[in-house]
Amino acid sequence: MLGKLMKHDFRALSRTLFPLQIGILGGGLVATILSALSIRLSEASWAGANGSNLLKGLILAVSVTSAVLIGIAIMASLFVTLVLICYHFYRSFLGDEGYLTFTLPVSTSNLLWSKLLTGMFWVLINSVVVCIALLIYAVFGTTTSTLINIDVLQALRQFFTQILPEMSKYISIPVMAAEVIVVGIVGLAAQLLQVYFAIIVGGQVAKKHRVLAAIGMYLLINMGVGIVSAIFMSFVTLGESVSQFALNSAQEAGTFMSTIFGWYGVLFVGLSALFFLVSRAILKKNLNLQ
Amino acid sequence: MQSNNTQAILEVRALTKRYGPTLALSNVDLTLPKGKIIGLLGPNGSGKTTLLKIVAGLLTSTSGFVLVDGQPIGEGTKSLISYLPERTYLPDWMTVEDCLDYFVDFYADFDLQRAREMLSRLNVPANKRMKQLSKGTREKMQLVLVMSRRAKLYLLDEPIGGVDPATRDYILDTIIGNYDNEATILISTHLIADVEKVLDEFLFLKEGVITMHDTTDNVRETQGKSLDELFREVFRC
Repeated sequence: MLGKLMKHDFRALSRTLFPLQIGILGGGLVATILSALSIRLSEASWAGANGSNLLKGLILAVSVTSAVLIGIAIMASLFVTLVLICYHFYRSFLGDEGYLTFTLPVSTSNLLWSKLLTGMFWVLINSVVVCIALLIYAVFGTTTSTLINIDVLQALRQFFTQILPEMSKYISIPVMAAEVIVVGIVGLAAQLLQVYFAIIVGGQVAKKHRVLAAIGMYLLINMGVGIVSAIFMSFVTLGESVSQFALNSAQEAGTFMSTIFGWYGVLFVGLSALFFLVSRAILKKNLNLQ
Repeated sequence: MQSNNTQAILEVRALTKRYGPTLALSNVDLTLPKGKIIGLLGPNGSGKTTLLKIVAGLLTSTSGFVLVDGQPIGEGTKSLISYLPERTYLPDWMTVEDCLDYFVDFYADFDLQRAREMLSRLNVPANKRMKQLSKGTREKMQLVLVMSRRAKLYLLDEPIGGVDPATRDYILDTIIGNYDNEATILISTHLIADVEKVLDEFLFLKEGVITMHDTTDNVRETQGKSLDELFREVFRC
């Protein structure tokens, strides 16, 4: 049943999120073209082309402003993606669609898993699309004469051929990479479950203005999570005896980072389990669709 | 918890539901047999929708318990119940075909062929999105989905409230013609005169309390009244 739930959640989310990703790529291309155009116009102005400096200045201003605005919109798309995912959750669970959702012969756990996994999938897709858009911009939109900015490609090549091998002398790159990916994924799961939890609790405490209640609950829960995380990590760093790590060598700094990353992973898993289990308990024991 | 009465599809014991200070259902006891069409009748705010929503698993009771075919409300009972709420709940963006696909995926007892026939008969266009359909057509769509399941217990909350009299007759004929003899249909409605002819039994619900549970034949034979007349008499303002 989880597969079927995910199929339908994916279909529902794709309606808005797929066009959004296309828009990000399209916006990225427009920003790239405008940026490349403005850089070339700027160069031409400085070269002292006569007669049409006012027009060039105007085009330049419009191009730069448009490119900056599109850039901001692309970066804001992560927030928009999150909002759309949360709105889908809200409608499916607390809106009229809840009458459909909660009469399905599926477990509450599966309902939550489906929302979590499809939400995570779209956040990851959005992150990849934003990275692609930024890469296109960096490679094609920041050069004055050639089509491709060789410096960007060289910097990327240098990262993989020089910096990573250098780092690998002190830390295990595959382990670190795996750690970053795993902690990133559980961190994303914890964040989404925290928002879902806030929506569910907001729906419990308010009969009207549930969205506002959910936002209020999120801020409250976020404060609580911040305090718990700070206390947890303080104990962890004390427990790990930071003093043992003199941190006077890059290798020790790497080991320390890896350990702290691991504990962040533990924290995120704990928070995810807590939000998931309490959300499930509320939906099972105290569901009250009005 | 297992039911002692193997013939009962629904058992409700000491069921109470409060919304803050408001008592919506008060200590309701109820046993419904298999294979009957039963009217859940009462004025506005008498607790009809609340009772149906608790049985469907959308509301949590304050106290008491409910068994459907001997099982407490949960994942298992949801596969036995086909519930039609009083509101439109299908997502706006879904097409009629999407809705059919949804029900095929989740309900093993969904009869796709039957659904297509009913939709065709009711002139519901297959390629339209829910937001493109009128409120009445969406209600028809929901009724078709609900009645195309081979469920053991149908909970219908105002199934004919939003449709014209001609469609009303078709819907009632559909309800009678399509349900299994082993299945029970619990219909909540204000339109008593319209449904009276199809009801085997009825329940009068007043201020959260069941005040009468009898067969419609018994009312006609012993009191010489139609159910509609009896309702008007009992619930006279």
